[in-house]
This record gives sequence, structure tokens and C-alpha cells, in this order.
Amino acid sequence: MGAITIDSLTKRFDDVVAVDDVSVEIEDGEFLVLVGPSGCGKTTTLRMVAGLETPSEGAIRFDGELVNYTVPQDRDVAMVFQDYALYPHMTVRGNLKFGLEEEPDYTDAERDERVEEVAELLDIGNLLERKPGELSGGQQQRVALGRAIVRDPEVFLMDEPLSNLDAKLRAQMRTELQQLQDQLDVTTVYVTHDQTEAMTMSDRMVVMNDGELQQVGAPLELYHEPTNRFVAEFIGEPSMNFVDGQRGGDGFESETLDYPFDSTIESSVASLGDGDRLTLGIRPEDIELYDDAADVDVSHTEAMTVTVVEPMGNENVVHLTYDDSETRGDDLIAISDGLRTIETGAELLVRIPPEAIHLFDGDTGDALHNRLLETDEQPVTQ
Amino acid sequence: MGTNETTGPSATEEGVGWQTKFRYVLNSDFVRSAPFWAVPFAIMAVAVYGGIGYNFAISLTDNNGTIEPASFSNLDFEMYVQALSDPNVIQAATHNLILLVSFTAICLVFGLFLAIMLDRQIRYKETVQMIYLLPMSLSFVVTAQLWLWMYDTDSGIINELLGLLSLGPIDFIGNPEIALWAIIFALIWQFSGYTMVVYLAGLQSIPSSQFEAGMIDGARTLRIYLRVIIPQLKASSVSAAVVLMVFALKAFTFLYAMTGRYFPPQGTDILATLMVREAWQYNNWAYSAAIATLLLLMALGVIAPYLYYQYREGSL
Repeated sequence: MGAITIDSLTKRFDDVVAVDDVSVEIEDGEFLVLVGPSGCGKTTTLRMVAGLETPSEGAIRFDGELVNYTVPQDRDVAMVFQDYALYPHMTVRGNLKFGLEEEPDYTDAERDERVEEVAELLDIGNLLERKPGELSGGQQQRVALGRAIVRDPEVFLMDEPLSNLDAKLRAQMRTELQQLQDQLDVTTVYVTHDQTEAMTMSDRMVVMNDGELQQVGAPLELYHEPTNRFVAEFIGEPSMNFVDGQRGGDGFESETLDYPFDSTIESSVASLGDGDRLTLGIRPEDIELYDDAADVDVSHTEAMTVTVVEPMGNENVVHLTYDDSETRGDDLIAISDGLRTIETGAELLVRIPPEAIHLFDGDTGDALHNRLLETDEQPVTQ
Repeated sequence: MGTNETTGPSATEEGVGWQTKFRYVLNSDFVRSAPFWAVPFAIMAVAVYGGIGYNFAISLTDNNGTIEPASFSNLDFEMYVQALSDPNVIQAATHNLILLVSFTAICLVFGLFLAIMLDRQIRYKETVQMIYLLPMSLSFVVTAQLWLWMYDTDSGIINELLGLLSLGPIDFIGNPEIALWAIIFALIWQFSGYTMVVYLAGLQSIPSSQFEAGMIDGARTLRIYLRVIIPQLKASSVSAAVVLMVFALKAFTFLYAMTGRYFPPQGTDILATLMVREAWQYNNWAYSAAIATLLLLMALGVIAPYLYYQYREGSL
């Protein structure tokens, strides 16, 4: 119970296409995260699953049963809203109990028992007689969660539930939510714009942009094998470096960087002719920085100048520019070990390892070549 | 204000002189802000509370015939005893109460109904809102005349319409049994638009996620309104109710405009019309002042629960 099929789902608001031909299979018990920038259609998709919006085209099926026109009351879903939407005139107990009162097969004592059980689970048992206005943001969040859990639905829908919390509490709630979902084993569809949340919490994630589905997959799969430039850029913090150039010579050519390809890479770009536009991508943590020429494998190495160093403690984010480039901002961003001292203005030798590069079609943004992963680094498919 | 309260070098010493203390008082915020609050305060004290006090004083005399000379020699509560045993006063007070309760209650329910209908995404909301609000901007005198024509036994539109259904004609204003209800109906027509606007503002301040949360929780529309939405309109209800009740007490204008005499239509006499009649037609000044005090007490009875509510909510 609780499998959801989304089939060619499209939603138009007048002339605006909010969701464009999205298809996803969600398994029972899965934690699926919809992620994308604001206005990408992720919330609209969630609201269609909830029944708060009616699809313009396509189908939503719960366990194979078409629910397009089923009202939210009959869908057996629970939702956590971004603003929590707690009923301000009711106590926490009233808030938790309201949904149960709609279900006829409980006695009043059973309802109270259930409310207290869930309150205990979420550690809000001592707040039951308070009104939402008297609670902190984190407590309100728990009540909103409790209101969803108490009805024991087939599906949890969460619309950016953590976005109103401060950073520390958000990290804590993230872990708790994951544990809770594991424990309850209920299908969960979670919407967020925060790629960290998406990466850390999901079994699988769906990246959306401009209403269109970009890629579906396990978090590490999306990280290492993005299908296009948008996904590559969206996932990861700081995001992937991109150098725009063209196919030429014995590899990749751009104003600043000439990068010869080895045979493996060559085979994935064989279809391109000289002069075809190409984008080279490299993750900041894959860039190697050397002080001394003696340490370096000379191929794929350039001399660059450090413009800014952002120490994060565990790592340094190093902004690099080519020596001869006119001040056009940073050319590359790299990450180095937190204990290594790098001065602003220093000259470094920068190596872009061929096994870590991604290549994207310069016109369509489609991935042509993704980084090579050694067997022990294979993404763990969950 | 008050940052430059320097009181001279001696101020810091023990046992300062009275001049210094006086200067200190003169420099205080209370005294220095006096020109701003004292004038309105004085006007208020004389015109409102002075008026109430003077009215009360007159009600204790046996004054009748002329306003002057008011002799305050033997004061007693005789007029109040007389008023409370006067069937006219009792009847007027009853009418007042009926008007107050039924007018306010029906206006609130009807206004809420209209507001919910409008809030449920009816098109041209602004235009419709204006149409309902318009009667509120009319003077009581205009409304009274308008409804007098509409209620007319011979040619009024209401009796014409009833005639189409082969009913009537009904003498709405002339029949003491139904005259009060005819007037209440006219007042509801005038004020339910106002109630609707107050409720509509309240409804629109409730985020739509409240409604959606109710739907997800499995509640049907009617129950969402009863349990989730309407309880959150408490503040709107209270403020609309207070305004409506005050207007109900002020219905004098309406009644006076209906006949243009001190006698309103039979069966619609309220304390205000009775008071004016006693004072200006019969010159029973003391008696009329006693009725005025009773009316004031009634108004306080209306406003007191509201003030208490405000006090409890911490906004007073």
C-alpha cells in the first residue's frame, strides 16, 4: 500500500505551464524528494498528489487506482505545510485530534490515546494543552508533523517543512525526520529547494527545472552521473566548475584552457566534430592544488593565482584565476584541506584530473561524458 | 522627551530646596506634554462627562415645563421609580432589546453568509463588494424614506410583488404587530453589507493553507467552516457586533424620519423616541433625563462585555 504512479503529469495555470509532462514511479515506503529552484513546479506537483490542485493532463495513481478527481479528504494522505497551518484557536491536542475526529471507527478514548502516543513519539507530550501561538518554531514543526502522523495515512506529503527553522534545528530535524520515516515506513514525498536536504534525506530524488523533470535517481547517482548541466550545477555545494569552449585540437579548447583527452574520453565525444561547442565540468573537490612543480604530473596542469580563500574549518574554498586573464572574476573554485595554509595572491599549480571531468554538450547541456568511478567508489544504490 | 531633565547642581545633593523640586515637576514629561493632552481632555470632560453628569442631576429633580430655572433643591429618584413602572418605558425598552438582539444577530449571520459566498472565488468580487457596501453609506433619513415608499400599502413595490403572488396587500408600517420587524428588515438591508465587508477582511486574513489543512485532515467543507474558519473570525464578529449594536441604539433617526413627528409608527417606540417625545413635546425634562440615563446604562451594558473582552485579550 502507498505506491504512487505519476504519469505524464501536466499542470497549466492559464497560459503558464507549471508542471510539464512529469512521470515518476514512487514505491511503497520510499522517501522521495522533489528538489529544484523556486518556480520549478515541485510544489505544484506535490499539491496535485495531495488533491489540492487538479492536473490539466496526465494521471496520478495510488496503488494503480486513478485519483485525479478524488478530493483530498478521500485520498488518505497527510501533509505538512510550509507555514505548518496549525489551527491557531485549538490547543495542540485539538490540532492533533481534529483529523481523527473525521474517522468514525475510533471512540473518543481511543482518539485521546492515539494523540498521546504520537505526542510521546515526537516528544511534545507536555505541550498538549498549549495553543500553537505559545510554541517555538521547532515545537510548532513537531505539532505539524504529529498532525500528519496521528492519522496513520498511506502517504506523507511535506512541503518544505524545515525551511522556517534555523540552521542548527534544521539539521537536527532532518535526522529525526529520516529516523521517523524509517520507523513508520510510510511513503513520503518531500519538497525542498535545498539540495543538502535532498541529498541527505532521500532514497531517491527528483530534480526539476522549469516544470520539467531533469533526472530521477539515488543522491550519489545524481551527484556523480548527472544527465545534464543543470543537474550537475544544482547538486553539490560549492557547485561544479564549468568552462565553456569547443572541441578542437586533441581535446577541449577554450580561451583559457586547452585540455587534451585520453582515449576513454575521446570515445564519448566521438560524434562531435572540430569546433562544436563543448562545456567541461569539474567538481571543486576533484581539483588538485600543488605548490611545487616537482610534485606534479605535468599533463593537465596550469599555473593559477589565488584570489580569495574562504576557510570553512574542515576545508578551504579556494577561488582561482589564470595569471594572464584580465579581471573577469574567478575561473575555477577548488577545495583544499582545512589544515593547509593557502595565501591570497599565491601562485599554485592546478591539475584537473582527467578521470574526474564531466563533458556537456555546449548547446543542449546534455552530459556526454561523466567522471570515471573506481569500483570501490561506486555509488551505493539504496 | 525628558532627556534634558537637568535640575541644576543642587539636584544631586541631599535635601534639595522646594524650588528645585518644583522645577523638577515642571520638567517632567507629564507636565511638559500637557498642552497636547490637556485640551482634548478638558473638552471631553466638560462636553461628554459633564453632559452626562448634568443630565443625571436634572433627572433627580422634578423639573418640567421649562428648562430654566432648574431647581436642584429637593433631589430624589422619583423619576426613576416612575419610569420603571411606566408601561410605555417598559414597552420601549423591550422594543430596544428586540431591535438590538435580532438586528445584530441576523446581520452577523447574513453578513457572514455573504462573505463566505464572496470569498469562495466569485468573480467581480470588488464590484459586488461595493454594491453590498453602498447602503451603509446612505443616511438613515434616505433609507427610511426609501423603505417607506417600498412598504407603501397602495403603490409600494413590495406589495406590488406580493400582489403578483395574489398575496396582501399588507400594511407593514401601519400594523403595530409587524411594524418593528419591517423596520428591522430595512436596517438589516442597510447594514449586512457592512458586516459582510468586516467578515470578508477577516476571511482573507486567514491563510488558504488553513482550509487546505482541514481538507487533508479529512473534514468536509461545512465542518471546516464550523470548526476551523469561523472560530478564527471571533475578532471580526466582536467588532462588527459592537458597531451594529451602537447603530441599533441610534435607530432614532430612522424612526423619526419615517413619520417626521415625535410619534414613530405604532409598535416601534424605542427609548430614544420616547425620551425626545417626553422632553420636547411634553416638556417633562426631569423624566426625559431619567429615560436618557436608562438608555445610557443600556449602551454601557452593550459596550462593557466588549471592553472586558479587549481587556482580557490584553489590548486595553
